[in-house]
Amino acid sequence: MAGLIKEGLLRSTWIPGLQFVRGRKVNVQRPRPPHYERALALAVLQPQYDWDSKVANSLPKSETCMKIPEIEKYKTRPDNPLERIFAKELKELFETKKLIAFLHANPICGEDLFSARVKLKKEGMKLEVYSKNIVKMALNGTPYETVIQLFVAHSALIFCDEPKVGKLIKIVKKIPQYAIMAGIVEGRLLSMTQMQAYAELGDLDSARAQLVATLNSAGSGLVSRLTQAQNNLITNLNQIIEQKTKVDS
Amino acid sequence: MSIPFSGVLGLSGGLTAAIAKQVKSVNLKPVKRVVFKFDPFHDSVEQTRYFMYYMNTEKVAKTNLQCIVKTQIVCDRSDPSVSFSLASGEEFVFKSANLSVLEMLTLYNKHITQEAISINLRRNYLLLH
Repeated sequence: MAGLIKEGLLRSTWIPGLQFVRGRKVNVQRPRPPHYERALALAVLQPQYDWDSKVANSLPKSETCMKIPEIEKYKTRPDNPLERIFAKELKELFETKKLIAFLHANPICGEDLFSARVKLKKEGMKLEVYSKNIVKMALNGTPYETVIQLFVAHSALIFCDEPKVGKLIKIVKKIPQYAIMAGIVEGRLLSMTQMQAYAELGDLDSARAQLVATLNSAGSGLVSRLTQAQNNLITNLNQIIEQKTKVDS
Repeated sequence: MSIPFSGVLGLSGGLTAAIAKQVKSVNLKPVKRVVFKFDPFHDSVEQTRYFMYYMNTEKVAKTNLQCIVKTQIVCDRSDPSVSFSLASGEEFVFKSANLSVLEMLTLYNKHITQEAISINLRRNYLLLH
């Protein structure tokens, strides 16, 4: 018997078995989750640290918790080249456009969204939706960093080459699904009330014309006041001359 | 004698499922006017904005087409709030700085949707008698 064990079991050499996988794809990147029994075995084989040691006891519970590294794995976002391209485009838009409006977006159906886009396009405006992560990627480290907090919930962006704030407020008022939260007008971050005040100011050219007119009015007023006495004297003298000529004739 | 089963058989669907369940039963019928007031730069405005999103879904809006929904965006660092003016003259104000969406929805269903149900019951009772 002993001889049999020695010959048959202990002397038997392990011959590697070949398994052909031709015809089916080998799933390397995302392997199938193991069977429950196997998963159990794998979990048992995970390295266990000596948590009773002095070092572990001196650490707070939040540090020694084994769940945290597991959660961290899901928290980090994998690098996405397409997102990077979108972020670059968004950064360029922020640097070039004169009017950027930040909207809160409520659910909107496709038809309404299309008609809203048409209304905006007639004024040369463009409605865009970017994800929180792209906005973060694009604006971190730029002067526009403050606006990242506006993207915590559903939001949208409107870009325009000209600062048509009045037109924008008028259009968005007619789209109940959107509400303007803030805007960047010519590089300045304005709140909704400030944007309304800006819209009431009107065009820059007309404001300039108004300023010139007020400056001119001061000058012309001074001139008229200075020449008023002389003009009065002239008219009085003329009247006296007329009266005298009438008497003589 | 066996012990009767109590509790749930499956796992909970989580926060999203709980919100969806509450949104399903939201009824705007007793409400005349809703005003969402918030400062977008406030630290705890996120949940109010989500609440506003859920209250503006098509299904909820269809429960009362006469209801006026207003958004008041301010810039004075004041806490966000949601006020509901009811047709009965009552007014409910949610000071929502420290409330989550789920809490707001459950509060709405508890106080305002319940009113719509009781109105319906009263009407049915009057029709029957």
